[in-house]
Amino acid sequence: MKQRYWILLFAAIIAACLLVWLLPRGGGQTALVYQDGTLLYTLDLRQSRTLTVTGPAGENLITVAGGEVFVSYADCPDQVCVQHGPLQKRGGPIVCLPNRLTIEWAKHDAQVDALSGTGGLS
Amino acid sequence: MRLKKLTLTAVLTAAALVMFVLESQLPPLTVIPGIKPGLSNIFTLFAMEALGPGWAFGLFLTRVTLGCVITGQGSAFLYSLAGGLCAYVLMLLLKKALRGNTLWVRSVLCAMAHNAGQMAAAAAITRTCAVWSYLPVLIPAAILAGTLTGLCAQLVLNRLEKAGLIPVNQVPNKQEEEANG
Repeated sequence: MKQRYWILLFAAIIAACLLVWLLPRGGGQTALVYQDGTLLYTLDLRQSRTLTVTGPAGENLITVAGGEVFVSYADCPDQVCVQHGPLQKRGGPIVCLPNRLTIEWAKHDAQVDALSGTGGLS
Repeated sequence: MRLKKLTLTAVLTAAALVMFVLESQLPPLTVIPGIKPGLSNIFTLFAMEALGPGWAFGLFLTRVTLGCVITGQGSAFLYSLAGGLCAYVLMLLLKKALRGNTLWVRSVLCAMAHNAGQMAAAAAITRTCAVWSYLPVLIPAAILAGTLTGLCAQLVLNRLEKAGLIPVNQVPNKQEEEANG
């Protein structure tokens, strides 16, 4: 009898998590590249570019193309960040644990101007 | 009896390692790191129940260390260790709180603690909170994986108990054991 409550509880947690996960968040035109918790780059997704980030495990090649940002090459063995594909409107950031790198959505597109001034919004 | 337990722990550790290496050869289920069935934990659970916490801890530590050496995933060591320690502490607490046929429930809760520990380690290493946004995926994954491993261990334990092979303390060849010193 008691097990039934546990099953219900776990099912409810799974349902709640799926709901949270499917809520859209982020989006927009600006992505932020962090390493070790410090902001490295502010990317305007409307401008195609390629940049290299070097970390403890090697290099990551970050590509912005077609309004999307993705890691096109990584030195590390697990390739998790490459297989993640482009940064999605739903779902989590691109994370490279070996190089302590994360790529996530900016809260507001306006940050491009404020932080780097090179966002090219004008 | 100590010798018997030591031998059994060694065999279980070997089996857990084989399972760990086999599992690491499977293609990743999702792009998100840390989502896998964790089948080697069946043996940790088994040791926890059949032999006791000390032996299970030895098994866990050996499995994590040797597993990382064998698969060559050095960076995974810290995450595994952080997750495993969280799960281990929670299991010790739950062992007294939840009795009866609830090994799978404890297994699920420990799987969640494991993922939370891993996330905390990842957040500490990357120094971002961004990794926490994986939590809504990792929690359901922990529930599924924990149920799977928990039920496996529970079913095996129940059968061995019925057959009179567990707990190991009560194996009836005491004289032999004393003769062996």
